[in-house]
Amino acid sequence: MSFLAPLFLLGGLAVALPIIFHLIRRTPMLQRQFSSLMFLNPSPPQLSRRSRLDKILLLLLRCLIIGLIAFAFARPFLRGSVPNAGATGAQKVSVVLLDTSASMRREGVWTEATSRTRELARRAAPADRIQISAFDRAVRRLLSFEDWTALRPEGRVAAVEQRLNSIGPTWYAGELGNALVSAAEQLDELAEVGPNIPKEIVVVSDLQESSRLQNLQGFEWPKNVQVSFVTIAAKSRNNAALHPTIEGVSTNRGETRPLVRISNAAESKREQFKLTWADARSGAPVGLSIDVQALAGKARAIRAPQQPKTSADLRLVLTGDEEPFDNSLFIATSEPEQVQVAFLGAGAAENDPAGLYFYLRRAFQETQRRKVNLTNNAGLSSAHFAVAADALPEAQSTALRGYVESGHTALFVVNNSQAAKSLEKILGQSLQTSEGVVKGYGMLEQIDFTHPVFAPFAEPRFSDFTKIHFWKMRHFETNGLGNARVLARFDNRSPALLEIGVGNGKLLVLASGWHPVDSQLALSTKFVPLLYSMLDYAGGFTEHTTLVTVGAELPVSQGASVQRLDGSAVPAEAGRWLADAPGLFKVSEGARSYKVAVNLDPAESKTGTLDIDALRSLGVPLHAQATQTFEQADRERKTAAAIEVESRQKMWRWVILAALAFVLVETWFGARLSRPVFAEA
Amino acid sequence: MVQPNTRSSLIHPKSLMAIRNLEFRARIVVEGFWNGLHRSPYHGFSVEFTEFRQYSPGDDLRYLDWRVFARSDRYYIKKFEDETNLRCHLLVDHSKSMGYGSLGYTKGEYANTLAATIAYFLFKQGDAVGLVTFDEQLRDILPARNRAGHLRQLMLALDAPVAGASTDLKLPLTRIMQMVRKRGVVVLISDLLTPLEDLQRALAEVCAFGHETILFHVLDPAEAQFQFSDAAIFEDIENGRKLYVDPATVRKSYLGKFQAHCAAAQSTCEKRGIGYVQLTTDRPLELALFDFLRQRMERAKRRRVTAPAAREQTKAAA
Repeated sequence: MSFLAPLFLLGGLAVALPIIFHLIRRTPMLQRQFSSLMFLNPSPPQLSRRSRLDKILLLLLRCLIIGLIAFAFARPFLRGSVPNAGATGAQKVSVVLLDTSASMRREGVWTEATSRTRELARRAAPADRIQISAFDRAVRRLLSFEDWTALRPEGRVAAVEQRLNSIGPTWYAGELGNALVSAAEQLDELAEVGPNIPKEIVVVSDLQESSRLQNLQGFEWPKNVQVSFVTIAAKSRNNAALHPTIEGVSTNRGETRPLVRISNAAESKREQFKLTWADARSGAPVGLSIDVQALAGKARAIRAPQQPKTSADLRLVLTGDEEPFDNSLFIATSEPEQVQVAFLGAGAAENDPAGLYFYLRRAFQETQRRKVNLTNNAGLSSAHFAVAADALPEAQSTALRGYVESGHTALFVVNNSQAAKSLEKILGQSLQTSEGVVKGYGMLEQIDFTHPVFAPFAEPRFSDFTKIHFWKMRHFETNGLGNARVLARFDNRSPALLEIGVGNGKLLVLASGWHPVDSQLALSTKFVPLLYSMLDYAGGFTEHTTLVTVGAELPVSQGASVQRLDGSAVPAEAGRWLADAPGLFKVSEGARSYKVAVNLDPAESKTGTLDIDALRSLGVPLHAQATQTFEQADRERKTAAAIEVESRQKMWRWVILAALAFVLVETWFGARLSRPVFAEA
Repeated sequence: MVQPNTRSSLIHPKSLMAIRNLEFRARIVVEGFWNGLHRSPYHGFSVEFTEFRQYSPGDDLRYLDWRVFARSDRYYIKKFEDETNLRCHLLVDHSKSMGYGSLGYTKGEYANTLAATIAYFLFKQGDAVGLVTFDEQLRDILPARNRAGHLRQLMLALDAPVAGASTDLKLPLTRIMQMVRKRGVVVLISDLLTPLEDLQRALAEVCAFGHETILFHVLDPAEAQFQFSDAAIFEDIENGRKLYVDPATVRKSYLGKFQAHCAAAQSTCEKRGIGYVQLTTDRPLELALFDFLRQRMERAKRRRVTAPAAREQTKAAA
């Protein structure tokens, strides 16, 4: 005899109530007012033997009724027929999602997660079907349903063990939402599984608070799928993380104290940390360290210590917490690109503000990523871009033509009518040119923002060129130029900037100069961007991202190679390579090379536990006990079996019926007992 | 003993008590009584004889009967009709013990109705009726008058709820005797639930003033018979004392003590020349009124025997 709800047996203690009531009844409850007690003597209470016997019978009846009701509520059943839960366990289809994101690198978490996964496989009934997948940025199938069913039940655990040993936690951020959606879809697509068979997704994860769940929003969960979580808690909650700030960790040359962000977990008990530079490869500290204080649950930006002068690659290291996986920050400091720009022309006096060169030299200042070396009438052999003006000597004209024909790009400024002659020579055809007629001043219009030169100005806030006034211009007839494209015109319809294809290269022709005699262009805010835009157009220089998080896919040109710090190559497929671990990556594109610093996704450092309610609010069909231990599950299964047996036996009904019968007897008996009492009264 | 013609003509107190208005109750009793007995020999007895008394110095000369003087050459004082009218004081016990009743109404209500009945009866005859209610002290005092509206005041005073704690006969009786100097009839209605010595002393005082006194001892049938069956905690209505009592065992001793108390009260009354009537609250009020009149008549007879000086002109006896 067992009980489904044995606590209800405590209700049997209520038999004390009738006993107490009967005891109370023995002392007279009747109180009567009387005019005077002066003639009355006190008389001790006496009870007749007979009435006491009768009441004991009634008392026994009442106790029996209460006992029976308590017994019925405890839902008794005979244990003999409880089936062994494990043996006949109903067929179940489950997908185990094993988290392999970076936060699983915390101490003890991965071991625990794999052992839990093994346990899940071990506890599966032979008829169950299980698929084991690992997820981080994407879902990888470790053991498919087909593999599982193909294996003999005895060999399944070993197979799972072997697959688990082959993987480990990665450096990627976990996309829990993605994984859940893909698992749910996979379960839904299992055609051969009947509709009554429970489908379950078991997530083995540390369920960190920053798990990405966006994909769950609006996802329509298939019916019959339930999700449960096996949450792995890390041994230590003291975790502080080191991350770049958005603008702080620039690759500024000469910037030796980058601004970094240190965040401390909310549950952390430590607040004192050390920040130091270390060798990027070995991690050995270099130089001095500084003490940093970060309160639990807070993040703060701080300047790193002075970067030691060394040729080796460095990283910033935070020490003092117990989880080292997110304590390194790699910073790529690359040398600025060297760009050669050649200037050809007469107005090349260094300090003559009336000439073109004066402004050009000042426009090409050195920047973070680029250093422009401007040469003055020095030849075009190594130049990435050339700017020419004025009437050019014959040799220069020929050289420039050859330069453009070989596939380069040059800008020719027609700052006077002699220059137009030179242009004819370069183009090798005659042009109808004349001094343009300007009334008051001229402006640019019909600018072709689709062209790469003007593309950076396409946004409305940059596209206003009306502030630039032109006093003098040269007029071209473009009829004769078959391969010319007008990028901008003056407001008298005369072309202002032309692109003319010459050989393999392109010649940009500006019909007015930027010096003060011709226009205000050099004084305009558009001047420098426009020159750089042309420079980019000429050289095809692209800006390289130098600071990314793990999991980013970066473009790379054909034939380039990517190397890790230790020299191992990173495969680049279809023009992209994947940053799969934190570190410094060296990208070599022909002669040029640059470094890319890859750091951990800051989300992975938020190691607090995710609130299950957040999942519930996203509509995830959580299992009744979404986070349960195996012991709980076992107990639950046994209880379920007991409930089934009990519902089959339904002994409580008979007990309640018996109790009702006794109630009737009690009522009848009580009425019979009290009848003479009424007569007496 | 004179009994009324038919018992069935009497109104049971329970039906009577259903009438809320006290005066109406009294009127019903008196008129029923009147209708039934108006040919009785007692009719009009209460109109007291007028007395001739020999003049003694100090008497008011206004009352000298000059005709008698002319006839007999003696000074006689003629007592006037109104002066010789009956002055009746009703002393009604309003102590808490009167609040007890087992029949659906209390002893107090019964006593009030009795007092009201007597008052109404006497008032109709032109007698002056006064009222004193008391518990352990005096509550309401209405001097004996026969005046329009007086009866109404009297009824109001009677209707006041019982409030007092205990019964103390001695103090109120002493006080009232001090206030009522003229001799008259004193009707004391009480349950006499007070120590016997107090009772004796109080009654002695009443008698000392020469009042004609009738004592109505009002009892509840439950008090007189003690017919309780269940054991219970009995609570004293006056002082709240509680006592566990099993009626079966104590009935005998109770009845013994109770009857001894009643007998003692009766003997005291007899000794003092006080009329004693024991009434249980289930006794019809007509009979109570009849008892009152009978007592009066007996006493009148007795007085005639014991006081030969009194003139023989009892209109009532006619």
